[in-house]
Amino acid sequence: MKFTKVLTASAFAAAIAATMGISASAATWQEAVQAAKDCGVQSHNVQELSNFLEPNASKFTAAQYDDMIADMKAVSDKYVAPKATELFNKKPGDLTEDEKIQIGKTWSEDDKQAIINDLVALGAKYNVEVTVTKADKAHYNVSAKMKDGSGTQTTTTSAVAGTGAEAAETGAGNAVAFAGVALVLAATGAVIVSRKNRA
Amino acid sequence: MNRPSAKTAARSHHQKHSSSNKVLRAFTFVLTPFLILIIVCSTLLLGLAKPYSYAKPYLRLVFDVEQHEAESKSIRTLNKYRDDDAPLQTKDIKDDETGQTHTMIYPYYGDYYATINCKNAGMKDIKVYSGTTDDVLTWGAGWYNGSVYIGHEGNVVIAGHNHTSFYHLPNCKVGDEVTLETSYCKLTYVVSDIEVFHQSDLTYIRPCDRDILTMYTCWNNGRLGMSEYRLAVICDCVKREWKEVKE
Repeated sequence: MKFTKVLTASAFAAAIAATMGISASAATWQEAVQAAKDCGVQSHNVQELSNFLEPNASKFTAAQYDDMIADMKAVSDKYVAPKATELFNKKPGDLTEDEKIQIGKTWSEDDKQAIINDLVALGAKYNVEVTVTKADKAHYNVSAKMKDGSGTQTTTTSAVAGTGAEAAETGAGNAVAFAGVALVLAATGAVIVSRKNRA
Repeated sequence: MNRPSAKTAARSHHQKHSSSNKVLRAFTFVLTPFLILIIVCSTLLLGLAKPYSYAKPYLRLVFDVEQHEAESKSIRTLNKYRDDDAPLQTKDIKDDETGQTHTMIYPYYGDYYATINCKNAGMKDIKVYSGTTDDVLTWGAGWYNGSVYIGHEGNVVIAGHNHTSFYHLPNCKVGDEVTLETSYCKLTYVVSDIEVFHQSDLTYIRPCDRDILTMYTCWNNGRLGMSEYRLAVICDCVKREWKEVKE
């Protein structure tokens, strides 16, 4: 549950960051990045936003940016700000990284799904394809791609990647399959032998 | 004297051999599958044994067909995250301190992005791709896109599997020189810290004010395999060289 909520917070933040990207430039893309920080987005997700905006900054209008900031703030006001006040008596922008994670842990499954739905809809509004998929019970993958673009610009997965050789499998499943086949073969053999003997 | 007729002898011979055939058929059709079952169960017990679980990552190194096939494909074929005709993403950036302008080339997710070398550790021409999803990490090391672009000041974070691209990472020592080269810049780093951290600890992958490179891989006390812990090699940037980019 802990990892689920932690990474849901990351997914939320990353999705906010990704959808923020489409509305680039009111003033500058750097201000959009600052706004994400002020909304309580985790620092590595803010960096993802920055990495999304930097090569795409010239593609968007000030009006789109203004709308997006307002939409993003609305999501933050609903899911982050109340908890930031209740738990830490802080504004979202003043939270530490650990505090941001703690807030994510308070979200229910319904909250998480509502956030995902809001952010996907937000992306669609601004011609950004935001895809959120549940990788496993503890991980969400979030990717953002301009619908008229040529490639995915950012994909959020687990912040710390799994970098070991695959975990050793017990082979139990395969063994059961083999055992089943062996039994079928034995039974088939018995039937064949009995039929031949009768013949 | 009654001698058995040729016909009777033949029938008797046939019956004797028919019985032998029945036994042989019974053995072949019934007992062989049970022998297979015994072999399978023995294999299962071997698979459950701890020594085998330790050896498996090493066996995969030798027999991993998927990894070998990935290496034989072209880079563009590998990258499912971009169209083949996707335009180059470039931007001229002015350095406020020096007043010089240099060109950045931004990778799409999944692009071949950089190459790492660390002579002392035996890391030679390690390919770095953009992104750290599971599929990208099978191609080589992965630049974490929640860290700064290579060439920018800040924490550049690169992850790699301990049985493939970052197999030699544990050989890095403080003071070793590491180079990180892209199509638009070359950075030289010196190893300053080596840390082991839990996967839930995001301290080493977060942005920071230091101008560093953080390379990490799974740490299993020197053995290959999955682990909850990561080995991070942290390097300070000592030199930054920009290349002329021709579009």
